[in-house]
Amino acid sequence: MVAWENRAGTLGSLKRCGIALLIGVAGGAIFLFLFPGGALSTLMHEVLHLPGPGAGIALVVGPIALLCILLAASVLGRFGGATLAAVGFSGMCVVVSAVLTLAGGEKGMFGSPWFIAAIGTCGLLADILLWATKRATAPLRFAVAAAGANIGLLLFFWLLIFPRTKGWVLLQDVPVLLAVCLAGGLVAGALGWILSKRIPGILFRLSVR
Amino acid sequence: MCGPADFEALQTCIVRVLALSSAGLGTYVVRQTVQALSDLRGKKPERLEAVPAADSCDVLARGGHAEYSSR
Repeated sequence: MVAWENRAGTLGSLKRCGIALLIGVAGGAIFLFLFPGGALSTLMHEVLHLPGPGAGIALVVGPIALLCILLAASVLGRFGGATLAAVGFSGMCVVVSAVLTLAGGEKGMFGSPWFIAAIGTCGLLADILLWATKRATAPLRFAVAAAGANIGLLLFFWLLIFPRTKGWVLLQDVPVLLAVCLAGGLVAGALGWILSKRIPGILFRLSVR
Repeated sequence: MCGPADFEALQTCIVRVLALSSAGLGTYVVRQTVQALSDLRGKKPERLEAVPAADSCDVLARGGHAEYSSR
């Protein structure tokens, strides 16, 4: 079960909503800084020799987004925190891609509303899974939410984005990519849980039990 | 991210990851050091409290301990 520290009424909730959104925005900025155009695809296919499309989403984009999403969910302490952070994350990516006219995001449509829809869906899934597992222990909640949302994100890309840009994923690559996706989600969930217990009081740290 | 391999971009990525990790680690080390120093400074008044008073009456007024009554 999760106990929320509810400091004060509406103003406190708005402040926490703002912080949840900012966590997503910061995460988006960090992601764009760390992975310039072409780096993700090169890392996945040339270095790790993972099949595609979807390896970058499963192993990097999804887990990084989920880390921010879960932290934001911890801060807000109610349904919607994960979705807010997801919108912040993807919105930041879209805005920066558009402003800087970044190249290299065509395959995953990083600079398009489709990307906001994909990450937003991931955040909503995380919210739903966190709500559905509210009677479970915190580590399990984070693990299930992260793994489930990461797989949902990958499926979104496979079904709605990649067919427009890169083509359909091959059936024989699906098990490998799903396994990678699950592993990435679990790592993100574990890190998210650990960090959610260590965030300073200014971010309205919750006591998770 | 699409197209042919771009090892230059990958190199940039690695450098940025290392830089950000170093910055994070450095911040953590500094924060822990500052916290440790604050804790150390915070303990000093207690040590001064434990120093025996020169005046025995002062010790008695404070309900002094046996170890301070040896003079």
